[in-house]
Amino acid sequence: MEEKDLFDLFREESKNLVEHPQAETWHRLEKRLVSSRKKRQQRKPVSTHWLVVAATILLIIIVGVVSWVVTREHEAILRGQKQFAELQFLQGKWSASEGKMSDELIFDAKDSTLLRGIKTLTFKEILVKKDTLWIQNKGKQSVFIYKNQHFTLKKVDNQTFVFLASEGSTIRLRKSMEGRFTLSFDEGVIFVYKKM
Amino acid sequence: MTDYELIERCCQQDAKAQRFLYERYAPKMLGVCRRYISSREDAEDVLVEAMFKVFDNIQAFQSAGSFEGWIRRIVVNEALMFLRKKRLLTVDTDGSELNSIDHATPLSIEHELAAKEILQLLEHLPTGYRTVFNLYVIEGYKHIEIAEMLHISINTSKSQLILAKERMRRELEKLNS
Repeated sequence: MEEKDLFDLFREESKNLVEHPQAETWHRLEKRLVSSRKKRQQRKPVSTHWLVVAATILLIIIVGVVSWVVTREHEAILRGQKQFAELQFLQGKWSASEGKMSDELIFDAKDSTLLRGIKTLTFKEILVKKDTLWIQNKGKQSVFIYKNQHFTLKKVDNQTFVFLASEGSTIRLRKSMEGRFTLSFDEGVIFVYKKM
Repeated sequence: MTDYELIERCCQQDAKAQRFLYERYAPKMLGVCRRYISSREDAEDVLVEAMFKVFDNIQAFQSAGSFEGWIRRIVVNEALMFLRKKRLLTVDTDGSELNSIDHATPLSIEHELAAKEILQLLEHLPTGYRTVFNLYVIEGYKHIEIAEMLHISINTSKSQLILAKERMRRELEKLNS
């Protein structure tokens, strides 16, 4: 008989190598299976209700974190951007400065020399070229007025200001954190810095 | 009941199906254990451990392959683990014995061997020889795979097989005479 045949014989005959285990062997296995089954059952299934609650909390946290990060990034972007838009009073007319920022400004000066009766100030501050003129939020009840040769902002009462400008005057509007300034005048002069 | 129906029910921890599956495969698998482990008691311990793993992991069985083959692999692995644990799996190579073997002499046999006789022949082999012989000849593993399974070199696996065959030849001669 060839060696290969002998190996084949071994292979074949090994398949017939059958030994019946003792009955006790199954009982031992059964015991282990039963205890494993019990352990599986004892593992408390997590309630779907709690899963929903946990998922909701997680979602709220994620949304909170993401919006916080986005806001911070947005603020950082705004900080990195040009902070001012310039408005100039030339030949009896207000005009916006050149470039991208000017595209963002809607400016219309019907009144040639006098802007009067400022009714709303929703911006935080105005900065004037060379010398500083700050107008703070109305809520703070404090208006800091600085006069120079080009401007006069006259306070009539807490709600009303008269803004006087001379030829060549420039106003720089500082961008707020929200990226928006609104300035309204009684006589139709409105300039708005739109959020980018 | 087909294997697949049984598997399905065993996945759901059906005790009757587990018993049924055990009865179908345990005798064959104890035969596998006995080829590796001479002590019947130890072989039955290994069988319990292996069958527990079969039931515990039955969901991992890919229905594309042979179920018997899958169980057999678990049983063989369990047997090897047992031998390793008991430090029975020593595969010392006796160089002088290896040199004295006439590699050209084929294994010959004058009468058909019965399964029981095969088991007896295997029992006469040292554990290392028997393990390599089993893995190579009967399970059909390659030397590279055996080397990996037993943490030995490929050459050691080859030499163990040669020595196992030589021992087997001597045992067969005794049987023939």
